[in-house]
Amino acid sequence: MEATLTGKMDNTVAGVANYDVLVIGAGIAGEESALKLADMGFRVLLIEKEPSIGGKMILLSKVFPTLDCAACITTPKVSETARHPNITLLTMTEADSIVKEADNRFSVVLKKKPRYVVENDCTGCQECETVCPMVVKDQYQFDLVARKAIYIPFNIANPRVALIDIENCTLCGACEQKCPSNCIDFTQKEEQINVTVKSVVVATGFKLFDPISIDRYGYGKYKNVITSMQMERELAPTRPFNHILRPSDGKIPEKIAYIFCTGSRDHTVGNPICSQVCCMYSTKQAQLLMGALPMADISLYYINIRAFGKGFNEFYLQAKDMGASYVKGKIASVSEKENGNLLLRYEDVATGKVTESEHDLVVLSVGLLANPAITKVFKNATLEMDALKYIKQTNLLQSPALTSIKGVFVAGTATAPMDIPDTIMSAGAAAAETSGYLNQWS
Amino acid sequence: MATNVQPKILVFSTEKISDPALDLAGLLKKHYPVTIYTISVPCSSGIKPRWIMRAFEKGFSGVFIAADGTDCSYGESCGEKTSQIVTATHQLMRDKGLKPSQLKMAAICSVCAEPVVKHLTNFMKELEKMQS
Repeated sequence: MEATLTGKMDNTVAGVANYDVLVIGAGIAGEESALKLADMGFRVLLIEKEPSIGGKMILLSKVFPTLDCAACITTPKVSETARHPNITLLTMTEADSIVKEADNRFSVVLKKKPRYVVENDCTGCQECETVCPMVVKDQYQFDLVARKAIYIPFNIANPRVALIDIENCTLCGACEQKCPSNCIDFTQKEEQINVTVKSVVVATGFKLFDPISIDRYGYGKYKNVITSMQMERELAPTRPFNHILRPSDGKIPEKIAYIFCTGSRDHTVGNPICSQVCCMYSTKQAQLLMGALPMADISLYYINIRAFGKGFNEFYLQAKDMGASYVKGKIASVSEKENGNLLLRYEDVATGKVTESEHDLVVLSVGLLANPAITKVFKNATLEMDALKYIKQTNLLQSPALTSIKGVFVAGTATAPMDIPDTIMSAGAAAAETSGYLNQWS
Repeated sequence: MATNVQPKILVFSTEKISDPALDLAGLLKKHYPVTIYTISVPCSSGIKPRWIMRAFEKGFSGVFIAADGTDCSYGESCGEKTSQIVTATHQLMRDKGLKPSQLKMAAICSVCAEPVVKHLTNFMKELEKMQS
């Protein structure tokens, strides 16, 4: 099925829409670049493979070191992105191929996955969810709770439109009968959209490290070992339990451990570098936990504390002053007791002794990994990667948004792990480089 | 005149920012009075004084505008414009013998579930006092 875009394009030649910029990825970097370019008057096509925009930040609790509410900051930006007259937004859409033409334009083939819900007709009432009989793990709550097979990703999702997880759908038709606006459409198919753009901004972000590959930490085996992203959800305003609970028995934890550098600075998992944010987000979570559970003990097991940014060291010292216990020592193993508590075995560097300590909840401070799939989309030019498969910045010091392809720019964590303020700055730099390139063009 | 009927409040919420907060209040099972009704609008600066007056004519005791403040994606002056609407409506309310305190406005973010419940519960208490 082939579709064409209507609306915010400069002209249409033989059913192909033309834009100034294609921004790939609508997390905070993609949004920021798109908004900056759109404000300058460029026509932007913003694509996102997920059903809603805002990336990972919209799912966070608070941001460090200011402890501002992440969702409160992200939602207005998301809303502005979605309604900007110069931005055409396509969700559930991925670039399938990008070919650089002789006139320096890029011919892009996009694939838009079906929602099985007519986007323009869905009112977001969630009546369909009430009748859907299928219950599956909710990936937006990082499997802490369940969702239905037809669902709106989360309550501040934008667009607030339902979609059907067709792999888990039994095609019973209950949602179709219940929907007050008749917008369920099981006949939808993947659409192919062809566009031509003058430039591309790659803002494909990062992947979170999956700690299941580190057997000694017991993630996936012991219920009370969770990831920092799961704890992030437990602390977020849109939290699933409205309290901090450990998964095995719903008990309020009293002794929580953090294991730093899970999947970072670790050659054995193929990620030898520091993920830049884990020390600080763990410190942030420790502070939030001490606020939510005043009686709980929080121990943070670390290799080195890297509190290098503006206000970071003060933030770390503040956590210590609040009572967080920082223990220098890498965890050798985690084992489970009958009551679900966990025994951590480690060498305490301060005493030089191998020590064991018991905790009732263990949080793994997982690292950030490259997300290199986008490089395969470029067909007749090579989007080079660095040794760790992040997009290579060909002029890191003077023009950090340049890539190995002229007209293709990079923003945010697609280049390397970084925190939110650096991501926003990187996205601004990419927008500035792109506008300079486009102005040269004209 | 004393009455046992609970006052009704009409809330104008904004579809992208304050409406999700009200939705979240429900998801988090926060308790707020059952006689609160919501109408979602794109931006609070588009609310017309005559809509508010119509709510009073139709039996609502209070109207609450859950505005976006400076976060509004339609413009930073949204809060200022909305407060001008509130001021203009207060005059119309005085003319009709209504108290200005029957119309309230507050900036509510997308996850401000607790603040919005607090605002509405306090507003309800005030209206109940006014009614008794």
